[in-house]
Amino acid sequence: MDKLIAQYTRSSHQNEFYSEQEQHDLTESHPPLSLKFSLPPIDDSRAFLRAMTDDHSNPSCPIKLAHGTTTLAFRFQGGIIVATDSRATAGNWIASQTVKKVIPVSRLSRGEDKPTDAPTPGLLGTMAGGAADCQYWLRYLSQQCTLHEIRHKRRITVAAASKILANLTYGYKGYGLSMGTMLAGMTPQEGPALYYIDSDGTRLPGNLFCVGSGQTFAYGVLDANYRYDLSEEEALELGRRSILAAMHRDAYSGGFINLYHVKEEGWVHHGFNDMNPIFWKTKLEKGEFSNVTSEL
Amino acid sequence: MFIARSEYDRGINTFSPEGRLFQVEYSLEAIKLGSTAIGVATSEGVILGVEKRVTSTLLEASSVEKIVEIDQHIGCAMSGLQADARNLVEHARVESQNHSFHYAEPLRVESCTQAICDLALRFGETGDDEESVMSRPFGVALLIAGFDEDGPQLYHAEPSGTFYRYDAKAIGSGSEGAQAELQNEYHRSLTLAEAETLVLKTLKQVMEEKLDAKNVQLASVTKEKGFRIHNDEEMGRAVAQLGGNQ
Amino acid sequence: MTSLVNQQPHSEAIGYSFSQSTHAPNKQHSFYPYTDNGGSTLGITGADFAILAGDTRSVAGYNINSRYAPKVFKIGGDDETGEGAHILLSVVGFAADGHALKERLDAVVKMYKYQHGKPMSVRACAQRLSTILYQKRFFPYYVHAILAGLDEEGTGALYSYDPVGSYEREQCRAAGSAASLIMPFLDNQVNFKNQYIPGSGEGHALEPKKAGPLPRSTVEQLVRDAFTSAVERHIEVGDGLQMMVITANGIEEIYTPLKQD
Repeated sequence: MDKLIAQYTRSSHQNEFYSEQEQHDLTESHPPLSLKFSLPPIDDSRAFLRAMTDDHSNPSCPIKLAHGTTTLAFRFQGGIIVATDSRATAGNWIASQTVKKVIPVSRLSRGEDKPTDAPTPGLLGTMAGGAADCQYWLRYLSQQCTLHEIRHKRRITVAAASKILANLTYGYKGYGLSMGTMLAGMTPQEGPALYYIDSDGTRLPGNLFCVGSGQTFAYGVLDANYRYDLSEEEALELGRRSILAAMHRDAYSGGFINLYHVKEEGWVHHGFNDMNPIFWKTKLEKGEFSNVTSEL
Repeated sequence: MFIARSEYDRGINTFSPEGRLFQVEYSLEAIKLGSTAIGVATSEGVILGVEKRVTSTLLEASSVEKIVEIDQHIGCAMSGLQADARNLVEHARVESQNHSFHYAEPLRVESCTQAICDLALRFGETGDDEESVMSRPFGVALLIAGFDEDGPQLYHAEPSGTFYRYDAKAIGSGSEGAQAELQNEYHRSLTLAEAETLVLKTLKQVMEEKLDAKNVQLASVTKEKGFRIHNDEEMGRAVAQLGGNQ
Repeated sequence: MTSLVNQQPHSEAIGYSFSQSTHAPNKQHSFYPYTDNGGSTLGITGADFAILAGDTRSVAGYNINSRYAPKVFKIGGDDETGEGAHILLSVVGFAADGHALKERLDAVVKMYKYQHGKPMSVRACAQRLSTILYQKRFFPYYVHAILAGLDEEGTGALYSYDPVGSYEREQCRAAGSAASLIMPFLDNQVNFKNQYIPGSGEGHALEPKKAGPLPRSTVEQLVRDAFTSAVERHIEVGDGLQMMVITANGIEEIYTPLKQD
């Protein structure tokens, strides 16, 4: 009874400012594990989200989210090559040409972007689909991997890490997450290991993946020239060339070629280079891309 | 001390007429039964040392874990009920990761200590949707060592939820003797190596068993290497050096 | 977002998710909690400063509802005036969402100061803003945010966001309805895209001009030029230009009138 009275005697303006929960959220940086995402106050929040943000089914949707595009990774005898483009599009507007689509999954407190020549321990994740989804969940994965490392005193395997991500995306199936990501890493237990995970909940181990709107073009070049026993130089060049092909033929891909090599001790960054000079070098010196005229 | 001990010492949520919470005070006593743990802060870093109490020759000494990692830059040593400590440490680890998740920077040592102490009083009956962690106060004290933008720091956290920063602190059964020793020997210009020796020397004085490389454990927190537990080789060297000094 | 270019459904061949039927008639949803209040924002950084600017017009459809509705806010100030703030936030899109976002970030930055006993760095604030936006992933803030401040070295720092929190540190960024007009101008004038050093070579040997930090006076003039030009060609931009300049000495606010038509 008291409860009933209390319920109806509350001022309707009580929650005008922050609710108790929100107050708590502000003071405690609550764990993302609790997954408290606010939902619209209607029955079908998924349909709402699709109507508002999915420019694929509704080109005039009001909120255009940034999308990522051509990414590839393949295993070879010297480790794993990871390469991406750097273009983000919102509808047909190029939102950015400088997106870092390779996201290190490593200890967060280490500071992610410290430039160093020495290999950095940890896994690499790639970003295709919704930029925010990939950035947020790969960051979340970093956190989980770090906790795993501290609790168990050894680094997480790529199989386990990819499973965390796949379970997560499967749990959010249908909510409109959009990500197609590859996880690459080398552990003593597994050697070089590569997994593909997407927002439908798919998780596949494999030797070679291309993901994104430019995937078909990248596959074309990659499949034609791929061998497991490529040398390190050849492998890096093949990664670069495959991304270049995708940038050339896919309008949603472009910008800079971002290249990484995953080795036993960790990953090494091999540059974030403007595609334009590389394209002309490939054309003029090697005679490829003969569909393009070299006259200026 | 506990003359007024009466029915008031049973309820964890009841003050005695003198204004005391006996269960919390008793939990502080529980720590005095624990093994000795010592921390010494220097300008180069912090050294933590614990006594392991290897009670049997059949006991695998490496499985006695009394110094643990919280994050890359924070570690802690414990004295008291170890199972309780695991709760606190797990909380601190998650809190530290959450902080770097949300703020792209390492958690400050003081904030980490604060997070642990916030948990210390979450016992007994709780409010509406607040989750209760324990039915009684924690029976463990922690020495939290870390390195952040304010340099190396050492904190002592108690079951009562209070915490203080120390230059050097001893907890556990040998704490009284050890604290007096630290009081005499500590000075601000200690190097990390000297602090290591001081910790071992102090432990040696208060331990019942003869100190060797197996029944003590050392760890350090420095700017360059973060938190590191000494491996067997480093332990052997440190203990051998102590023998040589005397 | 209003765009000058017609939006065509693109056939993005991604390898996952069944494609939604693109030919289905657009359903009318009765729940539409957003209004596009138009306007534009712009941020540019330099060696020891960052500028965040926005026009002050507020529209709903073709109605101009206000000629002074600021889009750039001080974050982490001691009082309502924003005195003592060390971070700037600009929001463009749905003004109510933008305002809610600003209030929330401001509260978070203040709480951080009390809890950790130090002012929040821009880097930390940038990460936190991202998670705040993502917290509403399934009911997004209809907002394009830009965050500006000075980093640990004292260099200007600028972070740009999409509505659900993907972010990137950049030299310059324009957001809002006139972004498509301003951004290409900035690419050319700030990042020197497609500018070459005259006489450095012939044809493919021409060397591109290297971009570097610009002096404050140049940047201020670029911001004014960008907005006066956008006002000429976009109905949702105009009335006034609010410019906030953050330097080691604090935040300076400069207001310049724009065309009122």
